[in-house]
Amino acid sequence: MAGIDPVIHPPARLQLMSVLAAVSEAEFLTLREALGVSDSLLSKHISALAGTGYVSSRKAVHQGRRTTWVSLTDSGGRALREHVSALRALIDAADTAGSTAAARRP
Amino acid sequence: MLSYMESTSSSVPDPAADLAAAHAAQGRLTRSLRLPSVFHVSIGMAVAVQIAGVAYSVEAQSARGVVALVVGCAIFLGVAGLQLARFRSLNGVRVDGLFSRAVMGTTTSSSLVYGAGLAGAILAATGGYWWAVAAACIAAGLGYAASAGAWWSAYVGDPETHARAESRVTLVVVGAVALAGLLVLVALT
Repeated sequence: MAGIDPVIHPPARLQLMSVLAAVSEAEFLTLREALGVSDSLLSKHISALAGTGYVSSRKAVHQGRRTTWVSLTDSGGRALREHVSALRALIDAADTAGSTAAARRP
Repeated sequence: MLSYMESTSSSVPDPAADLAAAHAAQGRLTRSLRLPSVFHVSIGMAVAVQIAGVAYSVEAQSARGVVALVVGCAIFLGVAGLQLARFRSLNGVRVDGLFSRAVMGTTTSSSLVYGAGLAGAILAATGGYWWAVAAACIAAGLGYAASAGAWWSAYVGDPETHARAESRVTLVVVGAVALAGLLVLVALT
C-alpha cells in the first residue's frame, strides 16, 4: 500500500509519533503516562523509531534524576504526515466502496 | 493477551480506529498540560517593565537610562526563562511555540501590541507625560498577556499546527533586528 509506513504502522508507534508531533520534546515518563504502556515497551518502540531516524532521544539529569527526552525529527514528521494521509485515503476508499455496494443492492 | 497499545501488527485491520486512537493519545497529553501559576500575568508584567525601561532610557539619555534599559531586558528574560523552565518541569515537555510565539511575542497580535505600546511609551516619555508612559506600559502588558493566552488556546485546540516555533532563519532575523534596536537605543543614550 502506497504511503503506509511499516515502521509507523503498529498502533503504539502511531500514537507515540502523534503525541510527539504535539510537542517539541517530551520526557520518557510523560510519554509513558500519555500512552499507558510499560517502560520496556515504550523503550522498544522508541529504539525502533530512532533506528530509522524518525525520533531522537537524549539523556539529561533533572532534580538529581536521570531522564530521557524524546523528540520527533524532521523526517519523522514528514513520515507521520504521509502515513496519516495514506490511512485517511484508505478510510475514504472504504467509505466509497461501501456506499457503492449499498447503492447496487436491490 | 496483548492490549491494543501493545499490538505490533503490520496489517490494516481498521485504519479509522488507529487514527482515532492516535488522536486520542495526543488529546490526552495536550489536555493534561498546565501552565505555571500566573504565567500570562507575569509575562505581561515583564513586558510592561521592559517597555518602561526602554521609554525611560530614551528620555533620560544618560547612564541611568542605559541601566534602566538593561535591567528591563534582564527582568523580561529572567521571568521568561523562569516560567518556561517551570512549564517544562511541571509537564515534562518542551513546546517551542510557547517560547517563540507566546513568550517572545512573534504572533502578529503580540508584535502589534508590543510595537504600539513601545511607540506610545516612548512618545509619552519624550513629552514628559509619565502617567501616559505607565498607561501605555500597562496596556501593552495586558495586550501581550491576552495574545499569549489566545495562542495557548489555539495550541491546545490544534497542537500539531502550533507546537513548532518559527524557522531558525526567522528567529535569527527577528533576534538580529531586536539586538540592532537595542544597540541603537544604547548608542542614543
